[in-house]
Amino acid sequence: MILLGKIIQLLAKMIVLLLVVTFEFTVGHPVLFITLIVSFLLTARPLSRYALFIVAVWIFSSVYDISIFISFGVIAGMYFGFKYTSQYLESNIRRFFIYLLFSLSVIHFSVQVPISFWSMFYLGSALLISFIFLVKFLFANYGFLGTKMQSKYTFFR
Amino acid sequence: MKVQSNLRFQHKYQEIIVFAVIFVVFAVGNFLGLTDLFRNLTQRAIQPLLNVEVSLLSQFRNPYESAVLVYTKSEYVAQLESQYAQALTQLAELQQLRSENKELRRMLNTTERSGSQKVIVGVPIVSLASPAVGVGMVDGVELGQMVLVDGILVGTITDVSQHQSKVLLLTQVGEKRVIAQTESGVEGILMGDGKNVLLTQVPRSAEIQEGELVLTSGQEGIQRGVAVGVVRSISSDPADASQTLQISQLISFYEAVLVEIR
Repeated sequence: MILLGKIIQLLAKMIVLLLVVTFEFTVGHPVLFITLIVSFLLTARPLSRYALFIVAVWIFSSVYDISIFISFGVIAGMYFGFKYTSQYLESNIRRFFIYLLFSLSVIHFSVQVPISFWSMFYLGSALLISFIFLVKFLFANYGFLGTKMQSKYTFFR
Repeated sequence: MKVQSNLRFQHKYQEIIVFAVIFVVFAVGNFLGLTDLFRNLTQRAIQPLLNVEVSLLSQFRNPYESAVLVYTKSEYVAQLESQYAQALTQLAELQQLRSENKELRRMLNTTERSGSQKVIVGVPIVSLASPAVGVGMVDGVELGQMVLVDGILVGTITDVSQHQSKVLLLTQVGEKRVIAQTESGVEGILMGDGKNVLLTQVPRSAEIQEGELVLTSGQEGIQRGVAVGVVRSISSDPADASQTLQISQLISFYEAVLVEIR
């Protein structure tokens, strides 16, 4: 029963990722997708994490029609960069946004996202939503879907 | 503490190894061309979802885009108005050219001239004080030449400059005297009173009918047989030995589009 619940949770996350990435593909940059996948990877258990990673790499590459290696590099780089460089930059939010902006610039030049009013409006809105999401759920005491965060750091440190 | 640190270290490398394995699997799949195949299938599968999202987003964008469209349309209308004004100016120029062209054709068709005779056509410069034509010495205009409108003599050239020539109209009071005669052969001298063309010095004994055509008799610079007008009225003073005929020219130098200089 617990296993079934976990599988359903994993599938729900995958569906959310698919919906978000397809939505973001129509408006511009995948800000929320990266935020979500990194938060899922950070909070998931190992097996779910690898499954989520593979699916995320795959759908990101398919939806944005980019090389599988770029997709892999962006998501893995974001995840490992955020997770294992805390000794250089302690603040979670700063570290997260540095890697996020770096990933977005890579995607921007790989996909040639058109710079228009709407894409820039969405980019700004998504960064704001991402910030609120991170503050409220991921880097606060409790993570997304109520998972307890392992990090002892407070959000703004 | 040390055990915990070792566990974390082990966990980190285990994770890196798994990710490396995933990378190798993707690389092999890419090398074998499987990734492209599966990516195409995935893209085909998610296409309906993309279509739905695009249509939802377009509904959300519509109010904004309508506002932008209204703004751009107003700019477009302003541009069109400007172009319309320019087109009207061009149209007026074209109409002017058309009427000039028509006038030229008519002149060429109706005027009798020898093959070697040069046709000088000029635009009348309408000035009540000093009427002129927009052709001068460079166009071959000479002093004393006839100025005709629709083949009817309206004046003579009295002063020629490089690009402009002054015209003494038959209606004007001036020194130039043109000898003319009626169809019945009665001769007189054309004079102007500032308003009308008069055929003066007509013998009192001559019988002239109103409506008779008046033509030039021919003299230096003035060809014979060029129409001047028709007799409108005859006035005679019993004390005078001659009578004066008022000539109607039917055309006006001031209303002409083009004039011919001969």
